[in-house]
Amino acid sequence: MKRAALLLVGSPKKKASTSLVLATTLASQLQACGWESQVAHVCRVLASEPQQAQFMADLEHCDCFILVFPLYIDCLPAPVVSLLEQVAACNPNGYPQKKLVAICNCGFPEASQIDIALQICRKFAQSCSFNWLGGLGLGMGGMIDGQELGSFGRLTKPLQAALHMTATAIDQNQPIPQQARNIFAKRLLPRWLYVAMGNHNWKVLAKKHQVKDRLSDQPYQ
Amino acid sequence: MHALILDGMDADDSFSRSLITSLNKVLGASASSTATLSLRKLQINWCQGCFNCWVKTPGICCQHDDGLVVNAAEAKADLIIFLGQVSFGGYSSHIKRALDRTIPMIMPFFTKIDGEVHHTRRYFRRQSLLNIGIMAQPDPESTAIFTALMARNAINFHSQNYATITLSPTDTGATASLAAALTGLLEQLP
Repeated sequence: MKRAALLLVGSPKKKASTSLVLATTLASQLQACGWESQVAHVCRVLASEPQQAQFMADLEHCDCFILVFPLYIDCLPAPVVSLLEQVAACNPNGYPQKKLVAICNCGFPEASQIDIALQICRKFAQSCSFNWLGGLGLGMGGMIDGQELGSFGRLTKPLQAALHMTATAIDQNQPIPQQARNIFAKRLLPRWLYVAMGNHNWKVLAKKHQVKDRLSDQPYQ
Repeated sequence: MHALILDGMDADDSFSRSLITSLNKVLGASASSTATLSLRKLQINWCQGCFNCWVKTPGICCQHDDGLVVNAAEAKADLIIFLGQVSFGGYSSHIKRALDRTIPMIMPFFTKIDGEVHHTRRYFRRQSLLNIGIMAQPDPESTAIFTALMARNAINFHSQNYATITLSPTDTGATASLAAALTGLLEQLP
């Protein structure tokens, strides 16, 4: 029987997100290793009780649960926390036969800002008796912004390689290799360039919405 | 000094009531006003990650629900107190739902703070933060993660005066510990 992975995309964005791109890339890598992969979206899961029940059934069926989410206020987005709370409450015996992996991306250049979010994921794994295989943290996630990793050419080839290492580790029931973690943590661009591009991009978007002169508004003052 | 208590507890139980009473008692002498928002009674949708609050309606979330009430209260507060359960070392979903909706309160632009990139501030009121995490049983590892989380948040909220305390209903000295933590924070107020 094929082994199954359940990937939860924790981005609340309705359109394509960095989390979705990372999840679907890893799902493909796992399929290449002979796994079944299913990608679920946290807000759709939480939208109704039947969806939540289906998610819990899918979780029960899977061999590996993979959280892929953006950093929100230094930790997990609220819908992801809500779903994890339900997962924990739903099964007091935990999930000792299942593996857990977490992949987090943030808009800051430093992947180290993700460390606490991954500690929370590890604590969740421990609380629910998952076999914690580790986590990956990616900075400069704003660069990817829903575009396929392949569309960035050589720039993101290492990320694809790191996800392949991660898929292999999951397949072999091994911790995520340090090499994969190092690749993810390495900045895609020089920090000064990313900051300059980011700051410019916000102004471009504000101009598009005709609020360039109101960016600093303080509506509650 | 205006204080805001964001009560993110799941239920109105006797333990959380005793904590809020203890907070109000300590604040009584120091605060000109104290507001308490029970988050479980508010309708706050998930943040959609749309960034409209940065580039379309600067400073205001496009979701017109009680998240706006929380933002308005936060902007007026000199001291913000978060009270909620600890989930896996982090905030519970009740508190986190409200916290995610504070993104309009900062700017999209990047700045460097102590060698790291963070967002610049939108408002310049100096705010102190007290983070109270409730756990069914004491758990040093969860406490360590929760404490580190508040330290990171304080950077992003541009707050230099903050404290974290974790408590359990089994702590016989919980209200006294809380009062001491709050008193210590108030002594550091600018």
